[in-house]
Amino acid sequence: MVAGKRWMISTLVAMMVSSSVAVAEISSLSESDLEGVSAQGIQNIYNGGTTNSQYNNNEALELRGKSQQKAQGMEIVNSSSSAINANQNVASLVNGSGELTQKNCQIAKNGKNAVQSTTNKKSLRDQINDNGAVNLSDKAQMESSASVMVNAAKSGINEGQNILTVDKSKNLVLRQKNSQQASNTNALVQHVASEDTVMKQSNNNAAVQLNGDAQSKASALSIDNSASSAKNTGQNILYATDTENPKLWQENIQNAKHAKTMLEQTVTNGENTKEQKNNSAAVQANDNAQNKANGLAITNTAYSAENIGQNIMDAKDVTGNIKISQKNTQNAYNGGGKYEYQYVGTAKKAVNAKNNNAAVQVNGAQNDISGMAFTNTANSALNIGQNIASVENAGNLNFIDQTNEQKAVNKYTAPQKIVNGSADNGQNNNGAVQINNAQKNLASLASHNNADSAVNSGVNVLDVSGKPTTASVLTQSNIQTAENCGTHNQDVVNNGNIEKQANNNGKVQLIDAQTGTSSLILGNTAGSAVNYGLNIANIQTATNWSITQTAVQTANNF
Amino acid sequence: MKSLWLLLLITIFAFAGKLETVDDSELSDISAQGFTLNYQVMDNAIKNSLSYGAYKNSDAIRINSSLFKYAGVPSSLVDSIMISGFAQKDAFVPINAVNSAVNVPINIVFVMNSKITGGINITNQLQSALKPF
Repeated sequence: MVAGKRWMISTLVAMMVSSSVAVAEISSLSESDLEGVSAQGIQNIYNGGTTNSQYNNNEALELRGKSQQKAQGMEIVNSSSSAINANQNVASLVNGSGELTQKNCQIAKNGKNAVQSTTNKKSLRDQINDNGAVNLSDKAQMESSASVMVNAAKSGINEGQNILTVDKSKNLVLRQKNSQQASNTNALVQHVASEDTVMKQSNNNAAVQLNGDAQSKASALSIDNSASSAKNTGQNILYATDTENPKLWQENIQNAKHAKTMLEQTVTNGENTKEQKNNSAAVQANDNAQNKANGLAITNTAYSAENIGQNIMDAKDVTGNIKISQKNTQNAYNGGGKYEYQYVGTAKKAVNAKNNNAAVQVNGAQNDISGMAFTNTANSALNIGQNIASVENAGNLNFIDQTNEQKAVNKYTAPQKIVNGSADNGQNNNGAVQINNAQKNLASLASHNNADSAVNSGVNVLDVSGKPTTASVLTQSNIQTAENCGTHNQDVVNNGNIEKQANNNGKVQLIDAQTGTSSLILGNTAGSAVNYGLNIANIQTATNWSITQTAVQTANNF
Repeated sequence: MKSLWLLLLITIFAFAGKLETVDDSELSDISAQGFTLNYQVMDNAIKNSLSYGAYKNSDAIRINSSLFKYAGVPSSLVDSIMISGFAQKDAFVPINAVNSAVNVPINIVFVMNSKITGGINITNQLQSALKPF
């Protein structure tokens, strides 16, 4: 298996072996540390003559051509004007006893503004304007492999991983913990004015745009593309064999706060346009992007707050008394600010225009993708908590607890105004999820496409097999609050003739999409508050057990 | 064909794995000494849990439809959702929500050859509120 080999290589790098106790790494960035990280960016582009192939990046991240194709490493991190912590603790313990703790304490704060202004006086062909955006095209990161792959622009990002294997040990107390705070605040303004004809142009403001074969066949524990967002990803992975009396703790405590100020994109076209894509606070995946990508978490996030917590444990041949605790405590807040405004005006005819404001649009892409958590998130607050434990050949399982406590709060004001002379094949999405001929055969525990929403997704899975077990207490719970409040108003003015136009405002639209999916949860959410709580227990040959599954869910949408 | 869809997950995902010693020569061009995590094993958890019980040997479409009903998606949501062509087939819990407040609790217990003395206690406390139209 090629993929397996890639994994082996990538995980070998920089791993360390601990023979006994305590592998911990603490890293936090104070505000003073970050002063130089995110400066205010102002970019003015003036093209007096004709423009042919021009890429303008302001506080943005763009990978094109074959950049990082087939790259391998523990971490592949590309950052533009972002605060990023990426920490990994990897340890192996043999013939040990006592306590071992793996812990990442991460604080990422990012702020300050980005303003991009582009003026094209004459006709243009092939122009990209990225402001606070992530744009991956061509074969960028295709077939690349890493534990962590991060592409971030204008974001506060924490990535924490604890990986531990234990063998032939007794009386152990093992703790894996990610404590993460990500915050992001900034105003992003993009003005693009073209006085003559426009042929092929992408304008991305606080957006993630994936094109071509970008990230296709990529594999990672976490593939994270983020634009102007606050995001935490915590992953605890524990594998224990032949162990007596273990106490196993896995925990993610995550707080993602995106304090919005203002987001504005205005695009004015004085003549005809053809193939223009305007994305603001949006995720747009096109072509073959992320096809056949796989990872524990694959997340594309624009102008949002998002937490991903994953606790994964496999214990085999454990004896004596066992305590297992897996917990995700998550807060995601995406709110405040003036508005998320998009204006696109075309004086004459707009052909094949795609305008996305606070929207997820997937065109043909993300097929055969697989991830335990797979998300496209635009202008939303999202928490994903997943606790997976497998226990095989245990004696007495005294106490097993799996808990997700999640609160997602999303506030938004997303007006979109589109004015066309005439239009042929136009797609206007505002606060919408639009999946076209895409995301086929995706496989995941939880797949979410979110626009203008507050979403909690909690999954607890316990499997006990093998030898008979006695006297045990299992509790699985999802305690979730989702609050969503806002308006998405769409104003489309067509002064001339229209040939085929889709206007999606606060809408989920699927066309020939998501067929053959194998997802435990598959959620497409626009302008909503949704809680998904799954508790699954599979117990075999057990005596004197108590099983409690609880869901406490509150969803408010105003 | 899709009945073992979770097996697909299992084969693709790979979490923690076997401990395996690698000698120095193998590592010479990697410049780190250590061990490999074999990301090809595990998740009995998901695999066993969802290929057992009532769902064993049933195909994904049946799983899909039964849980879709269980999840109780309000039919009024359909008004603002467009699903066209061969869209969205075979998912376990597919939920499409627009301008809505939705709670989706799903609790599943599989017990085989066991004596449960402490009871199986399943509790759902749900609240939702929606702005007036």
